[in-house]
Amino acid sequence: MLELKDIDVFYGKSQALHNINISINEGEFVTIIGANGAGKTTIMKTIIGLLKPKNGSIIYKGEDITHKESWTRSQMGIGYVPEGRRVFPELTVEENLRMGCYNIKDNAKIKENYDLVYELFPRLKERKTQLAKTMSGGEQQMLAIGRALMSSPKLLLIDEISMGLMPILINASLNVLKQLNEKGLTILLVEQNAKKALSYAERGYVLQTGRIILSDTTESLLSNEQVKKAYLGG
Amino acid sequence: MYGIVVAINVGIFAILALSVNIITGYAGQPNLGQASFFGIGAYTTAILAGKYGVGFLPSLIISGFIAGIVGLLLGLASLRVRDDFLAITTIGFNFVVVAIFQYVPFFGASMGLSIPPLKLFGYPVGYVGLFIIILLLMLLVILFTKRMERSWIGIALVSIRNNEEAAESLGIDTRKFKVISFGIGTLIAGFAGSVYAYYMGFIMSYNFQFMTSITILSMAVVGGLGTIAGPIIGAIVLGLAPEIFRFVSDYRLLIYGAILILMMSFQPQGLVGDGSIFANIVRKLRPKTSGVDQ
Repeated sequence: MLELKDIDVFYGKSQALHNINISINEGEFVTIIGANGAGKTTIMKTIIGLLKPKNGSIIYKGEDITHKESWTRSQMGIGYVPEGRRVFPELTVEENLRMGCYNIKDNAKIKENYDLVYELFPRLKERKTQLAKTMSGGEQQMLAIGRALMSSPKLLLIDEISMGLMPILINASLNVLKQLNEKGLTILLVEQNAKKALSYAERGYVLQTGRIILSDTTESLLSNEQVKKAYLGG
Repeated sequence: MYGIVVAINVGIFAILALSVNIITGYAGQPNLGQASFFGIGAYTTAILAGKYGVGFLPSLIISGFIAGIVGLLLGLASLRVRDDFLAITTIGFNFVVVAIFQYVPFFGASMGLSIPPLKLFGYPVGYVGLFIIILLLMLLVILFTKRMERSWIGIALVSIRNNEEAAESLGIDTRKFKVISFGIGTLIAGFAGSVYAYYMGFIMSYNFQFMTSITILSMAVVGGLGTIAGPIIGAIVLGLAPEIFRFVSDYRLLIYGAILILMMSFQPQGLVGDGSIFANIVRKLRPKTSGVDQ
């Protein structure tokens, strides 16, 4: 479904990603784990198109999207939950969700998506007229995920679901992702909390200073000595 | 007589503050050159009415649209730059426009241009009539902004201001909305310019220089960017200050500059913006309507 081929990304003169090769099949739940500054967010921004790679190509559903604008990629079915729950603070919950279905013209589909999101996160329905900035961290995370789901994505990119959340909310959020994945949504989660990510996803990549150093099923990664030592606390 | 002149001035600047509010307030795009569109509107009217004898309404409408089209073009040309670079681009544009007015003979060069007195249906319109026209125009702008606020354009603009990257990643063509905001904001400034030309009867490039842009932006900032009441209140406060305190008029640049810095540091949301001292007082006075609370 998604393939990154030999991607190099630079910030000015410094290279952030080196020769990244990733491929995700339809229906998979894949994670990329790595420490702070490894380049996880950079990969996500490159896939959604907020950053342009210097070399390499991005293939989505057989089409080369390397030079497409990010809003076009979103229209093609790539949903994105940015790092740090970047909701629109000055819009209400409902307006935030409405922005998510900006490109859907079919009202029945929009209604269906609202129902789906409200069913998944009843809390959002209770607070739909509230400004997003007045919500707690966990609620904002729900909103960020809900907003991405409003666009009926085929592939969902999530940047750090665990950041700033209580452990119980991390599990709840991951369970939601698992649930969505079981319904057929393809998911790519980048995560600093390696233990959690590896126990929910099927396949994982390990990113270190801008390079993929390992790639395997999450089962094997969890028992890999190198991973254990560096990311799972020994 | 004196009162109505002051009121007209404040009214025109309120419309201008509302116009820059669309670009800087709602879309969050810095614009330090709004006076140039005010000037384009005024000069268009001066040429149409003064040189070709075109009537009030067609002059007003054409002036707005010409300013709006130039605004759209500047918006398009500015897509590659953002934040401080956009601010500098708009300042530069202001200087270019003023220079054109000042040196091109067609625009009267250093002599300026004169505009015949305003007539509607054959009858001359005095200051009071002009003030009513300005109020009507302001009302239209307010109604339009109110409608826009909760429309697709309005919430898309706020989403861009809040987080441009997130907006893009949701499939919003941020370029399109930025250009739209420039088009709308400059169109309104063009209308204000047209009315201003009739009011003044004589215009010079001097009226539309960078300092005027700062004045317009200061009014919107002081009142509260991204609100409707804010720019109007800002225009009243800053518009009346030089009339009430003579020394303000002498040190206008210094005082407006100081106000901008103080507001940005202590009340960036302006006098009536969300979370400002004034808004908090109003919220406390208003009974709670919703049962949902933190």
